[in-house]
Amino acid sequence: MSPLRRPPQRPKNLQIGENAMPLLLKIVTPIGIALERSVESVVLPAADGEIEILPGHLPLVTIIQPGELVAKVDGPREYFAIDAGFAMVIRDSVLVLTDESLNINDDDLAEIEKAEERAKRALEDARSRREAMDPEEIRKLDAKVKYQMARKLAKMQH
Amino acid sequence: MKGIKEIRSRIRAVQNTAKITRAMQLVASSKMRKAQQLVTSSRPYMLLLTEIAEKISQLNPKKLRHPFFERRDVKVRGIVVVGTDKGLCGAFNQNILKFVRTNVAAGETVKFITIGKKATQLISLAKCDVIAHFNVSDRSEYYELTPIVEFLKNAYLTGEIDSLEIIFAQYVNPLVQAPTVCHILPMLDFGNELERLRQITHTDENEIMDDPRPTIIEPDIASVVAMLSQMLLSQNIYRIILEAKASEHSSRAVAMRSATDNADTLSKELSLEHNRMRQSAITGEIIEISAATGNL
Repeated sequence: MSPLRRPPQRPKNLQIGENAMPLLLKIVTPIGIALERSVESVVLPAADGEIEILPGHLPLVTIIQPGELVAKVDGPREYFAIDAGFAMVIRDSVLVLTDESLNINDDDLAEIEKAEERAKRALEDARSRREAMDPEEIRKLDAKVKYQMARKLAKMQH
Repeated sequence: MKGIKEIRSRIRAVQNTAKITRAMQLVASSKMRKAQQLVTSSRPYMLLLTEIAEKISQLNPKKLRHPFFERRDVKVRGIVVVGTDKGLCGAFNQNILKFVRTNVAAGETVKFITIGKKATQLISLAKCDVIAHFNVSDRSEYYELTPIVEFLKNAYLTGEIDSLEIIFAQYVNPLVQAPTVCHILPMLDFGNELERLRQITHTDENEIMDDPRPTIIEPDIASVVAMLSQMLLSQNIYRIILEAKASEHSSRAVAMRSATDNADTLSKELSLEHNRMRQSAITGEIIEISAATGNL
């Protein structure tokens, strides 16, 4: 993942009213809806690199990679670490389907490091096991490690 | 006629059993609540996944080339039977077995995959062809399903089975768990499933997404379809196993409840008998004493 530098804060967009945020962002995980709120724009870690979704975007279905999702709102922007999954953009709604999502603002660095360690160890175990592991399984574990690393990177930046 | 001592020890034994069954009832109902909560909280995820699948399948039905989405002639039916690992849950497993019997016509080739020890025992006793059996713990973690999903996927892709159905007990209410068959593969119609999910999640009409503009698919339709099919398969199986777990625990809670009630009734009857015997012994003694004093 390319480290995302935080762009300078834009001045408040005066054309958009305080309560009229044009995009609905919804992050859905197997344990429930992690986030549902209006935002101005969303940056997604799509399969071909990061993409920014603005209001009026064409309908889109894309695979997303483990990485960082940025929700830009009228105020402090919010950062989320998300796992692999899908994103669907339709009628000014951004629907993100992912296995895990965490708000980086309330994340704890020590805990992230522990989780990263655990993911790495699981991957090591799988690789060193005598019987040949399913490549699909290795790929999944690898994705877990990437997700934890993305979480850590994102936390350290903001 | 038993002696008073025997009755006393029986009362104690029955009361101890009641204590155990009461504890088991509490454990089962708490596990049931947890499983149900998992089912409910995973519904929005399932809904969105199905919405995406529906969207993709509407887009270009011809390009949706994946074995999971193509109808084929069913020579061998693959049926997954979800039972329990432990007993003491009433007629739960027997009901499932009965349902399996009514569901399979004579002369059909069926291969069974069982989940849960009791299901394995019952199905193999019925002289059916079990090609694999798995266990899922009560915690039902997602990763426990990986080997099951992988096995089913491979069996389907290699043509060992031509369809995949799951027979499990659907949770209706604490007293009723209805054995149900759920068709998993091939996935042919997302519309019905979507309708069902929208109903149970109470999605409003105006929340339903529709956009007339052409949809962009990234990175390309083949990889989206590949990932989608995999996720749909594992999510469907996961959801069904959670539902089966909820039913199992509720069935066990009810069974344990009635066991506790029976033990309580039994212990009441026994103490009644105990009291009666004690009373008659006392009466006997009094008669003896009064007869003895009368003689003096």
